[in-house]
Amino acid sequence: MSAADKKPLIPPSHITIKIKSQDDICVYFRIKRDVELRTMMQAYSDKVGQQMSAFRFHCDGIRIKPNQTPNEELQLDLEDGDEIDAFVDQIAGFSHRH
Amino acid sequence: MATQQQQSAIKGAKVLMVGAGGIGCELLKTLALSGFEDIHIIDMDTIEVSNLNRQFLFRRSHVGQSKAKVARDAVLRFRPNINIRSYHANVKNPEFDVDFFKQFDVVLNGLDNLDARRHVNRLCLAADVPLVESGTTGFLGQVTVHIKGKTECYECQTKPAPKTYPVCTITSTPTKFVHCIVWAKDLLFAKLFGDKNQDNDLNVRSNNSASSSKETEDVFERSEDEDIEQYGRKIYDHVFGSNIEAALSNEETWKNRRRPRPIYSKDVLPESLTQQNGSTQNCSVTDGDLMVSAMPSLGLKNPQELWGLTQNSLVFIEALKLFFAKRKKEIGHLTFDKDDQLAVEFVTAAANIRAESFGIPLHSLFEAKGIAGNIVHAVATTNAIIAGLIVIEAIKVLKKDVDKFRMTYCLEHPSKKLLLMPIEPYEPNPACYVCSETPLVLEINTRKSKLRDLVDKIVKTKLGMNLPLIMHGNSLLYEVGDDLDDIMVANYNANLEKYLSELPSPILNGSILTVEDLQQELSCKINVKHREEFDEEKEPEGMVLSGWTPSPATNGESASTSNNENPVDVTESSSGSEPASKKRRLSETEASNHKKETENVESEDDDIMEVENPMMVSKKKIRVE
Repeated sequence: MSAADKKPLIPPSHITIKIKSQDDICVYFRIKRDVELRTMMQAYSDKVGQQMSAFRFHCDGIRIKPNQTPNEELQLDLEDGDEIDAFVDQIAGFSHRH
Repeated sequence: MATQQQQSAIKGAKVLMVGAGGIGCELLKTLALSGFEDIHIIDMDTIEVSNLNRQFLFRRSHVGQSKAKVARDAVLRFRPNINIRSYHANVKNPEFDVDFFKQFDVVLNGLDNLDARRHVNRLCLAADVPLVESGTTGFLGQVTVHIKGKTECYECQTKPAPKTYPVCTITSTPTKFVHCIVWAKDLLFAKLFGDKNQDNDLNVRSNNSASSSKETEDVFERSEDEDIEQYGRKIYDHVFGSNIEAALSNEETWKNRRRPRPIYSKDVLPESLTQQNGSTQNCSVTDGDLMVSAMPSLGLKNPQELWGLTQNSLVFIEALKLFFAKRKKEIGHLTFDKDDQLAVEFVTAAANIRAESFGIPLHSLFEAKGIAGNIVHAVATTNAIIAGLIVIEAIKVLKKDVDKFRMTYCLEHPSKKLLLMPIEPYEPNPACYVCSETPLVLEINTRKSKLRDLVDKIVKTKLGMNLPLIMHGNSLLYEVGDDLDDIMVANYNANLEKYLSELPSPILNGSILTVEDLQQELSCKINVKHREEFDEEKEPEGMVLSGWTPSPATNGESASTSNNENPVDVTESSSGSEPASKKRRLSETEASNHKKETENVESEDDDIMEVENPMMVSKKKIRVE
């Protein structure tokens, strides 16, 4: 049932992606399949308040580059509901969690 | 078990460890037990009591001694036949030059600050020695591998910036306790006890404040014979009372916000406090002692206890009194330090009074200290895991198993059932000014910025140079070193105070500077662009350096601009690991709300939008411009 009441809201041209930080803060995006993922990465970075270049985005360990699109079947092939990890380098001594 | 090949790679290796702290202790132990026989270790620190809960090579009797030396001795006790050399020194010292680094097969970092990491990165690049780098915060951490020309260098990847808050949130519209802490620490504490010449946004700028700014400045001046308690109450009434009232007069601000309540000392505290506690008289500590405390005389013992408004107000006045009575000499040049008991008490009290005023829940001294000091408690297990991963990568580096190198990130919660996420190393970043020769661009007002600003804010802070040299064309503008004669030093010092456009060789729009650090063997070019105005809030330094991190919009312009035009819905949740099927158990009304909101922004034309967590529908909605 869940799929049924949700599906009509997502045009087939779009997918929903979850970006998850190392400490489990999740942000959800709906993105067009043929749009560069840079847009989503930038929106995520703006929201979290860091430069985009401070993040490493990975899906199942595979690197996601800003100029890729969800459709890029060779490497990525992101699907609706996929989860992307956003890693940042830790520098013992200070935190950015508050 | 290690293979024969592995064994010989390990046995013959000479490794340098930088740092003998949380990661370093674990690393030295693991290296020794893995069969490494020639280990050099640098650490400038001495052992503190607070290290003992996780730096297991150290015991209480070692407090005050060199970390590098004690770690060496401790490991030699169970591996007596290996060679460990310790250096109780700063890795940035000139004796650790490129030649020093060249003697090692691999360098392993277990550092606690960005500055030293960047320095080691540059020396490793210059000496062409592989670097295995690491870091931890609480449960999080990572190990990365850096080999010149093959993988990215440490500085190819931007490091996260410490969290900052918009100035107006701190000065006028706090909504979280951390905002009150930042206000108490960076504004009020700095205003009262710090450098008087520093700019400070403490006072609310009301609309017609041309004259009142002079008045408010005077509030913080204490005349010699002014009673300290009276002075304290005056400050109290100003910052928690009249300042809040001034802010309230700005009706526009409070249209959609909860209005704060002004608090005056007379409503909270008895007429005179001196009778009730004579602490300033009978306290027998010496000036400048970090142990001075306002708590004992007020009968407060437990730092985890929550104080009410009255108690916080008493602590506020008492701490302020003690600063003037016991630590007068330091006033004017104090900066907040989480290990300064009185400073923590003052900041806790001030933050709590402000929180009360704004209807924000109060916090205990212990909690406030953690927030103010940005403390995330270190986790020994994370350090041990990271140290193990460093050794694994170091062995691959020694065996030259390039294809098997991995960067590993440690997560707080499993992702796809993994807590350790291995990823392939990145290739060098072509836009990195450290390992490639990409020029930097500096936007600066060449008529209003001095050479000193450039040296302090850019060359030292941003570029992390230790012994910099600045050239413009053939003219040497600035240099640091031991072998300079007095005339040159005087010359360089005079240059520091000159505006860029007035230097002997004027720096103007279009000038190209060469900035070098001879110790790091790093040289980079800076293209100067003159710019008149800078946004005080977004660009507080009055200059912008770019090109040292990859620009987010090198291509795909259209995509990113269209994003800006679209309204974006925002939610976040910290429990995102539920399976998708559970995500839509919403109540009827919530579901329809969600639908409505989604439909509002949904259209085939939107390239991207941020959406509600499909599981947790909240009505919180923020417009992102």
